[in-house]
Amino acid sequence: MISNSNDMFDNEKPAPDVKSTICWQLVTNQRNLFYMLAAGMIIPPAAFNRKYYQDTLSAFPGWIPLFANHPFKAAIEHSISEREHLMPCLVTVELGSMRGRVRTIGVNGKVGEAIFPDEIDGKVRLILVPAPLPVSWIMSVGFRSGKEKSNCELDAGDFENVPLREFKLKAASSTFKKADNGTWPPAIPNFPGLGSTLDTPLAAGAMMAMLLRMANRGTIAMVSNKMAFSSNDGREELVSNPMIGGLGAWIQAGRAPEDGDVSRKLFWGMVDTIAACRASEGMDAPLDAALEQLVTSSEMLDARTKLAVAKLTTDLKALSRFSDSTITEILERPRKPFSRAMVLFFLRDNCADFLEYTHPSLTEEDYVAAAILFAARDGWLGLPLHLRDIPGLHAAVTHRMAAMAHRIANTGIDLGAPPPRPMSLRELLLPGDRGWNKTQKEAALLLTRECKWDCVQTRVTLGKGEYQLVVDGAGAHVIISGEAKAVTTEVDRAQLFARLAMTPISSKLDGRLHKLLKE
Amino acid sequence: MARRKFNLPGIQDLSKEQEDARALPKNGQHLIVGGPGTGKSVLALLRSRRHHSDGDDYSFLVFNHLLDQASQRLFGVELSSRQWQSWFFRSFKELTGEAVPRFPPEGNSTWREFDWDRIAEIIGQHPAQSEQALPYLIIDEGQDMPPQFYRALANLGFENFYVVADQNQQIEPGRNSTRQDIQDCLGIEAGDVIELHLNYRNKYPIARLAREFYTGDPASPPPKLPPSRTPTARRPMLLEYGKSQYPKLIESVLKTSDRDPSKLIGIIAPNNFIRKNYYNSLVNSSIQLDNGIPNIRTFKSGDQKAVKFDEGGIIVINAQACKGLEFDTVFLADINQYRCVYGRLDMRKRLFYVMVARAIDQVIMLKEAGSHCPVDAILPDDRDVLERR
Repeated sequence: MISNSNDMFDNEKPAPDVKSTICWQLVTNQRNLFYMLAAGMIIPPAAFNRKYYQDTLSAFPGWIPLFANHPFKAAIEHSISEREHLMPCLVTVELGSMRGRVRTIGVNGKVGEAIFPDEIDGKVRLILVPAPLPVSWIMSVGFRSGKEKSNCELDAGDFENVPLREFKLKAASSTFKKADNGTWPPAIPNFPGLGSTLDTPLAAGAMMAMLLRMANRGTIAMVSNKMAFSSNDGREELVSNPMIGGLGAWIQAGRAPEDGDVSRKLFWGMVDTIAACRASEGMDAPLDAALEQLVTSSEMLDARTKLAVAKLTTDLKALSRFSDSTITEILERPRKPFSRAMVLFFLRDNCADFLEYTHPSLTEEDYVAAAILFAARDGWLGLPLHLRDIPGLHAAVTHRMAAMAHRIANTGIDLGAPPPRPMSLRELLLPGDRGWNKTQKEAALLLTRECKWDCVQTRVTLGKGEYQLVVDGAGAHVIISGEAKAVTTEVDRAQLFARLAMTPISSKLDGRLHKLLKE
Repeated sequence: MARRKFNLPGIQDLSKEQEDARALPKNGQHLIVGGPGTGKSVLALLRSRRHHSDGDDYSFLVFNHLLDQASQRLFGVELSSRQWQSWFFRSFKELTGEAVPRFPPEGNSTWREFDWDRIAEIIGQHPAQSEQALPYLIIDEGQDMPPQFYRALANLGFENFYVVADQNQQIEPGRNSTRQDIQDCLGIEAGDVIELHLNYRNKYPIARLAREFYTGDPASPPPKLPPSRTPTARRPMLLEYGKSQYPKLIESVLKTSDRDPSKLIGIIAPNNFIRKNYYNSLVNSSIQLDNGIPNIRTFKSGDQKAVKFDEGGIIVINAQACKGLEFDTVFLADINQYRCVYGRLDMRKRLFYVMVARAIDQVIMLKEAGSHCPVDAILPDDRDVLERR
């Protein structure tokens, strides 16, 4: 344990009961809270892209200060000091599954180091956890009054990506009143700041969402979706496309591979570049950065590939300025998969636009590769709420993004087992060794009926015997003696998967089917 | 048809200065100034949206009917939006019981100017209404309404104003309000005016080009340029075409629209003749496109028909009608047709400043080859700013 004395606390309170559950609280303001909820993670000031308002996060750059039970009044006041319109928020965070080394500040003001949770005792006043943490660990958000709570709810409604309503909000005037009299910001000399890069985790989060939305398109899309959520479970060999096959390795390492297939290196180098420029100002930055990256990366290529990349660069420039071609004309020209993905990237502006785009000449691989590029461009922060509204997606993604950030930065923080990933309908409808089970059959029938797809047939199984066929004004009738019990309605599996690949399913129906298939 | 609508911003899209403007209390007099693309209209729409969801009585006032339609269509039909003069006719009548006094029409025009002196007299004879009885007013492009309008509103008892304005976008000087006029009429202290400095709409190359036409009115600072990376993927272009190339040019415009039917292309013409010419050429084209011929519409001053701004496609309008509108791509048609009067270059620059700043993604200026082009005098020579083709 490292420790040094500090006199930031003007009174020492008796240590709380060690056995009791400590309520960990982050003190911030509503603007920073909104940003963090949109980003899916509790993040350090450097990750706010020029929109950070002073709060407790700035005292220890790169660390998240969490008060044990009661925050300091001064910390609350500091968190609303930058603007008159700021409102303080007490964010209660559940750290139950976290393991790793954190910094501590004791009730005596001493700074130390401890393994969480084993070495945390009742004498700890504040812990400092390396950023980020998933917002899915937020248990509640407390406001000074019911009026401030409702104002914040209205305020969040002005944004397309702030999921405030998904969190438990409460008026917590008594908690604010119980705040202690410690000094804030504390004067702790030489406290080591931590750097963290969140570009790639945010890109990875958007990839998970995008690939889940595309996973009904076919096997490649479905397997890519699995790889995005579970990077290291060896599905790479199921995808022959070297660009898409590199997804799991990229999620694991957070950067492009340095060797291997050329198209894989080019593609993931492009993903890194696009993700890194998201934080830079200027709406055209991703396209400019992509063009620059093509020029830079071609320097290391052989003459033939260099020529192809140079032609692609010229085509992309023409496409973004004033091109004399329709998309069909552009896509009809022979191109390699990397070039096709880049063309698509230059044809649409963001994930939402791209998801709505279809063209008959595009392959499943084209869609998946371009979706990865768009995900790098927008990041999880840039995804509007309507693209995130799949049950279980938010928790699954935010945990994995934060875990990826810790893995890349090598902080030693283990966030524990991630929540289960949401599964696509295609995956839930995959038949077992003996075909579809009863629930899958019901779901397939429901899906087919609701979508009015013409892929249902009725099978009447009759025993051996002689049957009478009667034709009258109402139609033809087969007369069977006794009861006919073997009448079954069947869905043509191949046709269903083909339709599923082409048709967007409404959130409502998707939810019904997921509920049915999980029961 | 591909739908367009007002998308709420992401939390990362609004700057701290925009948040300051968004956080202003509902009551009181507020003035927000900023150049084109600084997000003034987004703030005005968000303010209206808040009033709407709170069930408040409010009016969103805009400069012209086209802007009224653009705002309503993008926001949704429920927006309580009105063209300022037509709103004033009705409100004045309701509050004073009298019709708005107006002068007889001048020349060939059918428009009758407001008699503001007489309006002031009538208002003086009526007691001001209590604040509770009057709606919240959100005024977009507030520089375009005359100072007498603000004075009349204040004297009628209106107290709650949210005005967004840009003095550099006055196309008709003398008939508009300066920043100081609005401050004086509404009793707003200079220190309480919020200035928006950052350009969010235009991409760097467009903002850089617009800067070439900035005439330097310090009351409304030009927006800071978005940061640049070079080379830029999209660069404004001056395209010179010969008569024989015109059909090909029209096809290229149609293909541009076809590549993303949800995008709105604005063709801004110098006069009615050019406007009709482009419109007719576009609608009569028989080119094969992936998505069929796009939705092409036109509008001229005085038109009462609704223009669909909530669908992608192409809108052909005159230069004077483009204020406050926003297009993904802007074509400035036949710029050789604009006149430049010696000694009044600033007026022409101001018009180009407004027209160029309408574009989000791309600006393409079109010029007839071999024609004398008076506005060459105000076009930048730097090919990095305006590429020649």
